[in-house]
Amino acid sequence: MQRHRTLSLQFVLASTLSGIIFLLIALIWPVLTTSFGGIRNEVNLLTAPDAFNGDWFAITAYVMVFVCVAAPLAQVLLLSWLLAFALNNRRAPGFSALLPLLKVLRPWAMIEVFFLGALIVVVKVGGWVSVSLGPGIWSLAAFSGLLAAVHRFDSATLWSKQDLR
Amino acid sequence: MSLRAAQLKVALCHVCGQIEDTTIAARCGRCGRKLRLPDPRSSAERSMAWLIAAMVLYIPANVLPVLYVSGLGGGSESTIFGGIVEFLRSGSWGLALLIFGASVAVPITKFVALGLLIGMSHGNSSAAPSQRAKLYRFVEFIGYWSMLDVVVVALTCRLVRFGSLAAAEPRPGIIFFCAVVIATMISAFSFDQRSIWMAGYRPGHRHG
Repeated sequence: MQRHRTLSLQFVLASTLSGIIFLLIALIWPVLTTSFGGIRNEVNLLTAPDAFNGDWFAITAYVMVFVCVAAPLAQVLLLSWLLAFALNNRRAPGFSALLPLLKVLRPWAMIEVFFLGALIVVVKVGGWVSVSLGPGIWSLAAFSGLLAAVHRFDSATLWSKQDLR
Repeated sequence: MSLRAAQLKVALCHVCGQIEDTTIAARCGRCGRKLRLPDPRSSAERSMAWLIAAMVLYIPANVLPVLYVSGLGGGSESTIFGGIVEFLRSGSWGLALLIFGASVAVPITKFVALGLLIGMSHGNSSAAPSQRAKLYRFVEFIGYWSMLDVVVVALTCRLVRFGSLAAAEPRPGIIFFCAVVIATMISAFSFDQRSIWMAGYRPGHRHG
């Protein structure tokens, strides 16, 4: 009975590992592309913060790198690391530092916001020039969906699993 | 009459959720963190400081332009509100509503809701605790969607780089807006949820 109520560790690990791949796709390949007058512009998760350059704008760029790249990537990497060990009923090296870090990171990971922003930009910029969707936007959609499932897993339950060993 | 954890001399570890006996333990036996007893007054004050900072920053975030778009016919700057109006003019009611929600309704809801929660906790109010707890979870949930406008400006500026034909650049309002989102988020996390349930309890009287 209990097993059906909470997500299995295998399912969550599979989701976080796919999450890593989806993030890498959106970091490497374009999310959106525009073309006008023979000039092409591409943007992906990694290059979007570049829009903010210059002294004070750099602060906003750093915030964007943190919430759109560093936090979500750390979230799926950390959870994969912890779960890979938890599946063998072991505690991962650094367990008691990493699990609280995961809890802190969660509200700062904003891939869903980036995804919705990209959809808005398709309409906004699409009114001026032609916009095409890149592979990155589909992987962001997939990542947002996966994370919604992963968030149903209460990582605090790993603390009690740790009690066993 | 409900008992407080402090009256039982136990406390919940804020990191891993273990229950510890505060008469013998200063640190959590499971994760080793120092046990932190709830202190409604100082959490309310820290939270209020961030909230006031956010409200002050919200003024330049709305007054200053966030985006500059130039084309063959010249250029124009737009504020957050101007961006919403532009969507309305082009007939995109849904998107205008979405951006209005993320950039105007969410921050203002947060200012009012957090102000109310902080004020009531600071004043040791015992009114409607379960509604206040619900309100807090709602504020926590909606908070980060405000970052939407920052993402929209960033993507627009990256995608509209066609030299003299058309170009988009960010303007300083977006820096303030980004700061507002961060400050309201920190304000929400600084607020100790437990303080909602602690009316009548004063730190320092817990062993009394």
